[in-house]
Amino acid sequence: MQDGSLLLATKISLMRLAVAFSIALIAGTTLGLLNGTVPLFRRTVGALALGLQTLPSICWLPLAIVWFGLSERAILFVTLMGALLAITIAVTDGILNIPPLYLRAARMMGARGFRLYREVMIPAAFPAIISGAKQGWAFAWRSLMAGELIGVSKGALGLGQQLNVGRDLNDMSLVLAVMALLIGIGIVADRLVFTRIENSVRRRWGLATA
Amino acid sequence: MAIIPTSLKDMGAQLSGRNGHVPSGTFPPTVAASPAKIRLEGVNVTFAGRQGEVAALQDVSLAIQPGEFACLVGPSGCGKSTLLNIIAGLIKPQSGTAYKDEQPITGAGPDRAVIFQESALFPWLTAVQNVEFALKHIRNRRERRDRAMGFLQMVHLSRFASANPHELSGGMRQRVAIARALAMDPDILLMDEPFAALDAQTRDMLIEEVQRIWLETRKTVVFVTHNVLEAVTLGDRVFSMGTRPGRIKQELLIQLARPRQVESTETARMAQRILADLKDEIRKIVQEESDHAEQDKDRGRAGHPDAVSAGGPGVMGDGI
Repeated sequence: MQDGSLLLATKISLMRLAVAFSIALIAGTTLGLLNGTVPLFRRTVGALALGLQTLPSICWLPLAIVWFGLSERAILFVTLMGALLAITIAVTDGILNIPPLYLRAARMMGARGFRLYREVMIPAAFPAIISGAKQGWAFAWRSLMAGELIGVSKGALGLGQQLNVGRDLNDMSLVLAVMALLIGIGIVADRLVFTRIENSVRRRWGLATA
Repeated sequence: MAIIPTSLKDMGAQLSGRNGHVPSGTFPPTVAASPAKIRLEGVNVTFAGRQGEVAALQDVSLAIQPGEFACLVGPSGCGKSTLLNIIAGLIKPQSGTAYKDEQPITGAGPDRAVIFQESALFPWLTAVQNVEFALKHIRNRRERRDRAMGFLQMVHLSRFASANPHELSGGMRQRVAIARALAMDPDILLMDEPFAALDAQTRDMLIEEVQRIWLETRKTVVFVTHNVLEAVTLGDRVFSMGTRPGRIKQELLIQLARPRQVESTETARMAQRILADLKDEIRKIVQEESDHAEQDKDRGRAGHPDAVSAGGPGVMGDGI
């Protein structure tokens, strides 16, 4: 495999992940904020989100294929669904656990509406949002691999599809190389991105750092 | 001459009333030369507790004049913080009305700054950013920063502007909270036992600092405390409160010259007299709480053995 196909596959998978994860992060945070602040929303949509989280995200694949066909969008959808609910739930908990004192202080200083969300609730829930994102990332990465493995043969080949190629060609070295790559990417993302952000937030807040 | 019970009724009679309840109207309206800054009329608040409804405040009426330093003093559970939250607009009374400048108070607003028992600084912001939060109406960033620094200077903390709240001591955090409250440029400063969590030395220092700031700014202040000495040192007008149901027992004008010192003999003597007036009340609370503790024990979910003394004279008398 000297043709750089693994490098290309990594790039393709990471691109898919980036797109799906960004959407999940924005949508999940929004849903979490709604969940945390609108009781009616929490009791209806929020309760549903918790139920859906028990569904392995790859179970969305048949639905996605019917909806989107054997396409890029089906993979993105499965990846998105993998991350979305984990993030939603973490953000909801983060919002519900904001000490009421901060909200009273903010209201007292006249912060309401959008400003209350942006300048108080999101920063106050930020530690929870980061750990939600971390979990969401892991879920998204797994879902993406499952999606690529099982789902789609058309289109650009990601890492999951390279695993399949390895299986078809009975090429053990390719299979193991891809697996090692997957683990490596996971560790790098966790150490370089999430743990770093987490630690800087914890330092700032005066919490113990990992 | 220093201490003037504004109630015409004999204080002894008030204190020995059957359940200590003084119906509203027993105090004559306060020397009402100018319209009151804050006025409460027949305010009632009940909370649903484990043992049914608890009257947190019963029929409370009071008036506070513009530029006045008013203190609410009383044992834990007398509803003094509830009263403050009503003025802040954070709690709505079940009946009765609170007025600010003769307008009914309908909600919280930046015209009334609250300083909480714990500093309530935002941990994700530095000291100066916390003060800036109250100055968000200033669009120009530099100007906003300069103004915030000015307020930090007022509480002698400009050196710690870029510190995170957790890096500051309890007393310093409270001073940042005071700076933040002043930055809101409120009509009224509401202070809810702001020094209760601090050690005695820090507290005495902050009492004098608050007095200095008040003398400079002449804001109307409502200061809640369980510490009589604190109330007497700071207040022009001291409302002492009783518990179960929470209500105002008496209203005193303190006319000692300023600046007053915490450790001066005059303030100590004054505090003693208020304490003496409240002794019956305290005894009643201790009695009731030990009764409750007994009941709790009987029910098998007994409270902490220290609970009785914690709510008793130790609370009222500390610092004296």
